[in-house]
Amino acid sequence: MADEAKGIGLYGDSWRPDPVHEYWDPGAYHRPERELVEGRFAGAECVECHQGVTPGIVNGWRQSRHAKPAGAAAPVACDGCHGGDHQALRFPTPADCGACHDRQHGQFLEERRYGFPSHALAMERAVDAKHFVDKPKAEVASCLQCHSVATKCDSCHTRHAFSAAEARRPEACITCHSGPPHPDDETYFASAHGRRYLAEGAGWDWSKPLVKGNYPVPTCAYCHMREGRHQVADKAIWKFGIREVNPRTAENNVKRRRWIAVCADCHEPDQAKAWLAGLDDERKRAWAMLYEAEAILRDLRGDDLLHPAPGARPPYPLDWWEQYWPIARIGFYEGQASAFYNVSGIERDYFEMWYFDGLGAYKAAAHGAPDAVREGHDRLARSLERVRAEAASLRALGTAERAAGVRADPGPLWLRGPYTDLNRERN
Amino acid sequence: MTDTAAGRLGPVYRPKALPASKQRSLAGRYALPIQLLSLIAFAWAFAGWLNETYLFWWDNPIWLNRYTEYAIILGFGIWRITAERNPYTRRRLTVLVACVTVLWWLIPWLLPFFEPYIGYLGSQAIFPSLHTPGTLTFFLVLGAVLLFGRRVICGWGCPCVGIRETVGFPFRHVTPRGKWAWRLRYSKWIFFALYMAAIVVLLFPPNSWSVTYMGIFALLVALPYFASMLLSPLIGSRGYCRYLCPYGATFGALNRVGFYRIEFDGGSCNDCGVCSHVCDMGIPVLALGRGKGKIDVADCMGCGRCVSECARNSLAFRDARNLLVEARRDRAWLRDWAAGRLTRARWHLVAFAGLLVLIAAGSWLAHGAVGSAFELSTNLWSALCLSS
Repeated sequence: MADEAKGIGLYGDSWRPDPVHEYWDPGAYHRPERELVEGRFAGAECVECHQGVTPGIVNGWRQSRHAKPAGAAAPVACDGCHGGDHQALRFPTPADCGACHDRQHGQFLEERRYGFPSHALAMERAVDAKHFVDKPKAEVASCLQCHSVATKCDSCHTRHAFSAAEARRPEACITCHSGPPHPDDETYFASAHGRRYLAEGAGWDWSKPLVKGNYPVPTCAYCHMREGRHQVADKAIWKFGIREVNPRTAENNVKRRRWIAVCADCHEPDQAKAWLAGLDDERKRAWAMLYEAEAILRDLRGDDLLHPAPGARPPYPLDWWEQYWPIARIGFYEGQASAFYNVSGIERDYFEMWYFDGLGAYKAAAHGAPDAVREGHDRLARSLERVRAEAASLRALGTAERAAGVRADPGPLWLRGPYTDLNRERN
Repeated sequence: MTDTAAGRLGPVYRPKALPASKQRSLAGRYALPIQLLSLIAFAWAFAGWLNETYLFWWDNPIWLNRYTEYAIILGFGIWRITAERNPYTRRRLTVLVACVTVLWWLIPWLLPFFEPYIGYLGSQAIFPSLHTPGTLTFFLVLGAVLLFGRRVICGWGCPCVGIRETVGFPFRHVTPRGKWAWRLRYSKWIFFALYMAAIVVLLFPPNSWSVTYMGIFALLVALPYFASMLLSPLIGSRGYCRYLCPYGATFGALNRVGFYRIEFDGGSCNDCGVCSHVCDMGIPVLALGRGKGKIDVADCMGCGRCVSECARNSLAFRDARNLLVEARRDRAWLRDWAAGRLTRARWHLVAFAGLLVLIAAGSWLAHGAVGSAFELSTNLWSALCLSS
């Protein structure tokens, strides 16, 4: 990609895209003028060359509904999505797909109205995060691989078969919905629903739509994208789980009724209510522990026992005003990004408690994986115990230092050096 | 006759102590226990909001959670209505308390339907969303304010005024009325500007900055809202409405450009100044009347105390209806209207109720349309098919 290409989003002036960004956000970064082949081609002519050059793509397309549409509709060939001019080819964006699939595209865009988190806002969420600009490229390169769910449709319907059946299976979701802060895969597969999917799913007819009666147990999309709706936000109560919410606001009560309606496809509504209440109880207990750890950190900050001190950390490059008005952030509530790096050991432990232990327990409770709930809360309790013990030793050290009139210097850590300084010039 | 820089206020009025059941539009001083009771109720309303937003002490959504303020308004409202001696104010308070109870409390609580809207608002409960730019009620209320003045919402339907007219009634007599109290009214335009920026922000999909802005804006509205309640013994019952309310400022701006005003007849006025002394918004009514011949300021929220208390019938409401009929400059007429003796007034009430039923019915059909124009259009279409 040419050097003059700039990033997108709020801080786009401060980072430059890599060539691979062309895939993640084709609407912003695709540069067809690099193409070597000249000329205009129609569908059959494209296939003539490409079945030799890229046979996998052509075979995928041949299996797709695009090649063999139902009824008398004309096939959608290569040039239907990519254009015919080889010097001005397009990488299809959701808008391109929406030219035909406008219902699905409309539902997808509607998700933005619910705010974060949202598939449709995922790209903004990634590149508008300050640490996306501030951290080394190698550490943030993978962000957009999942966050590109906002800017292309083949995150779930992989090219070039674009199969609806594929996206109905849990595997379509767990490419991204896996890993410590959102173990949706583990917790679903550990649930009764997931066990049965693992045992029997291979034999199910995935060409059937996601409606009552078609599947013996629900998969991700059955509940979260009820009846094939292309948005998942209309029932989101606890959302990503990174904040405590009031699960009983008027809005959340509406969402609870929607959940109960989904569960009632197979279960008694009263059971569904009890499951939801159980999730709320689990969250309340988890947040009680998180708040306790956060209070410990606040006390340490108040007594100047955190090294590096929260107020001494360099501000993000775009928060220039913080050079003149430093803000001593700790924990999540005082600025999520501050938890990611340039923090002291005990803060890192709190971050992992909040982001990994807490969210793991949340997803386990939400997906009905009882042992993972137990394990998540064991880990929360252990992390809290560790934070308490570290705080006690920091206090003892601080007392000894004051008595001796010295202060241990932990060195600059990451406050200076390549990790912090060079990234800002090279990103 | 007292002259201040704000203009003539009329004779000096010193509020004297009166029992709660004997209070008049010209506010007297209340017994200390009643003032304390009011402050406790204000604090309870604040606790309800905190619990909804930050504390989550109770799972039950009803009690001491979201709706504390509305329950308090109903409780104090019944007391206030029975104790009120001005029939016009009694009628207004009855409608006000009924609006708060039904539209702001019972409908959003019992019937979970959501409003159609433009922009990126998230789900909006059916009536309270008139605060939120872009919803259906928001536009209906703007139109009504243009035609009939700010009193449509501030005087007759707003819970913010509702709690201040019911719980805040023991603090009416401390309303600041000096030169600076009047000049300071411009401060609300700062909040108005923030509100206008919020309208623009909400027209676009959320990003990190806009989410932060809306969070700060919500706190800038909510914290002064509750702080002004607790400061009522110092700043009067309407400190928030006068100086801080961005919505009141919006409606006030429409007061100016719309059809609403209070006309002043200098010939019949005897400069008694009761109009200035009964105004909770601290408007120098007499001075404005003598100066301009009318009261058309953005601050007037149409409580009607000045009009209905004027012994010389020198003040009269005017709004869009007076394009068709002559304004009535008659206190007896206004009080008769309040007592429900005129059939036309009843028809207005029926038409208003019908409009609300229409909104509610439309929303019922759109039930479940949280933020989804697709679902909404589907629902509205099926509603049309059903009704035809």
